Amino acid sequence: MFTELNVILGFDHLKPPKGQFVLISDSLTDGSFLIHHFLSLYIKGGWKVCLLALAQSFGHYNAVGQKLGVPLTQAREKGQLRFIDGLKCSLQMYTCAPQEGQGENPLRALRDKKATLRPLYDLVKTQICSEEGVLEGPTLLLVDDLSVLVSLGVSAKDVSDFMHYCRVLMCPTQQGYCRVLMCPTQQSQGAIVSLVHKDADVEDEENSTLFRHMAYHGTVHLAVEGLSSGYSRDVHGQSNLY
Amino acid sequence: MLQQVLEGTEASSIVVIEDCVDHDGRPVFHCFCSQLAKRCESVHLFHLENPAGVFLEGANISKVHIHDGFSDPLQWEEQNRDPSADKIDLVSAPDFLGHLKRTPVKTSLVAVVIDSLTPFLQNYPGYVICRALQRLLRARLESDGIEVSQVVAGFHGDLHDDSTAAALRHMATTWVQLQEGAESPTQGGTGFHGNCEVLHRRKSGKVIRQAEVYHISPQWSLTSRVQKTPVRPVAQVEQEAQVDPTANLTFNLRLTDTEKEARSRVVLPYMHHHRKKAPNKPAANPGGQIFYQPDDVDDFDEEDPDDDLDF
Repeated sequence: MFTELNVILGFDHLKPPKGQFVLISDSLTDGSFLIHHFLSLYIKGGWKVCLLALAQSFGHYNAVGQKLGVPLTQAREKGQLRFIDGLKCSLQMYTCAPQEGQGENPLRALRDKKATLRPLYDLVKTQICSEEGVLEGPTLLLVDDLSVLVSLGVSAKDVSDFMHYCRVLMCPTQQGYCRVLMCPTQQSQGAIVSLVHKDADVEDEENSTLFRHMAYHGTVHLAVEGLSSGYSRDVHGQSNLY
Repeated sequence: MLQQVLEGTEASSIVVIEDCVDHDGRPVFHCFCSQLAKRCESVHLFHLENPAGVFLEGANISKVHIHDGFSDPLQWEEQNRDPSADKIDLVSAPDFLGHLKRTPVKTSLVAVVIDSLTPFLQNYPGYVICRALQRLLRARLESDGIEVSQVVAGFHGDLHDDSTAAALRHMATTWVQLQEGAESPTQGGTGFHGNCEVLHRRKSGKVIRQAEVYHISPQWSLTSRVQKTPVRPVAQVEQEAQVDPTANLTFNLRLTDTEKEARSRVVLPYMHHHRKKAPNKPAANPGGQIFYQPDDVDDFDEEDPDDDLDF
């Protein structure tokens, strides 16, 4: 899937992105197809994936994965795929009473304004890292998607702090603007792919601030947008690579 | 001016590099790190947004002291915390001078590079950061054991409000606002280039503002020159292709030269034709004269001709 995109980005299932923070933004279209692309890319390559799902359930990713020829249920049973059901956690925060275990919910920042997303980061770290706290081989952290957190009331600063720590965990020596100069042996073993919505017709200052924060963190920006000429049946949109 | 500030020929105590999402300031920042490591005795790098290695490529690392605010700025990694390591955290108010004083090797003239001010500004008000920067510049060798020659700080203009930017701009002696993005290097490429606006305040009080073009070589040396405003040619009125209404018609609307001359000689009605009449003949209606012949009973009062005023 999307072999041309892999060629342009310079990575495929045999050579997964390392030390990269790929930011996907979509405007007036749905960019989640790239989430499925990276998910299937890594699973096919046999690498480890941690999927932090805030927008969809496991069944959705599994259904799409099966169409792409990537059985996610088996990958999850083997331990290759670590699935964090953020959707369920966020629902529990709003439906369960405080004494019914909200204290252990990684998304307690949704109800407690003083709390941060540190519990969520700790959960991600325990899913990905070994007991020594280091990555075991190339690992991908997929976040789908960050705009949900802002929509649920988490501030852009808290989300940015969370992603900063994820970035330090996954790609501490990330390749930046001087990637052609850095020694390849210094590459991190991890990579991050996250999705942020950036709809041009919606005035959401908090979401725009979040996007800008992520743009500073990211090393690659894939901007997916609808065609400027309007809706087309055959061509769904265009994507720009920064 | 940017090149002069970078090389030290133009003195500047605080340099702020303002960038935004579209215009990456890290290459310019990198040049400052590299150049300061050459001309200063010691450089203190406070890195919070990028790993230190990003800015140390090509720099004399022995002169650089790294203050790590990148790996654990909010103290979420308790088990990995090394109390002996000098780490920056955003939990307590920024104290740049305190970190400088804690370094084991104390030199007299140091440069401080901060990447960037944004994490501090997100956790503390602007005046707290300004105060911490002022304390840095006021440090003296006799009292503090250290003297700061230059502070270079990054600032993301699109993440903060105008009041914060204004406060920092007021404090900075040189403000570099990037206006055109530095392009990514290609394999074996020629480096970066872009445009910027430099606002520089000299100690004499003179303020210099100029638009410049800069180029960064792969060895991280920066050259800049004043951007010349393109000389615009005299505005030539472009004659739009006039649509000829008489073209492509089945009938003729054009006039020959004799017909045009005859048309110019046509006498229009209701216009005065004085030159055609005898010059000594008076005009038919020279302006309307009123001839008043009063009767015997008329009592014409100049001051009250209508006889309706009652004084």
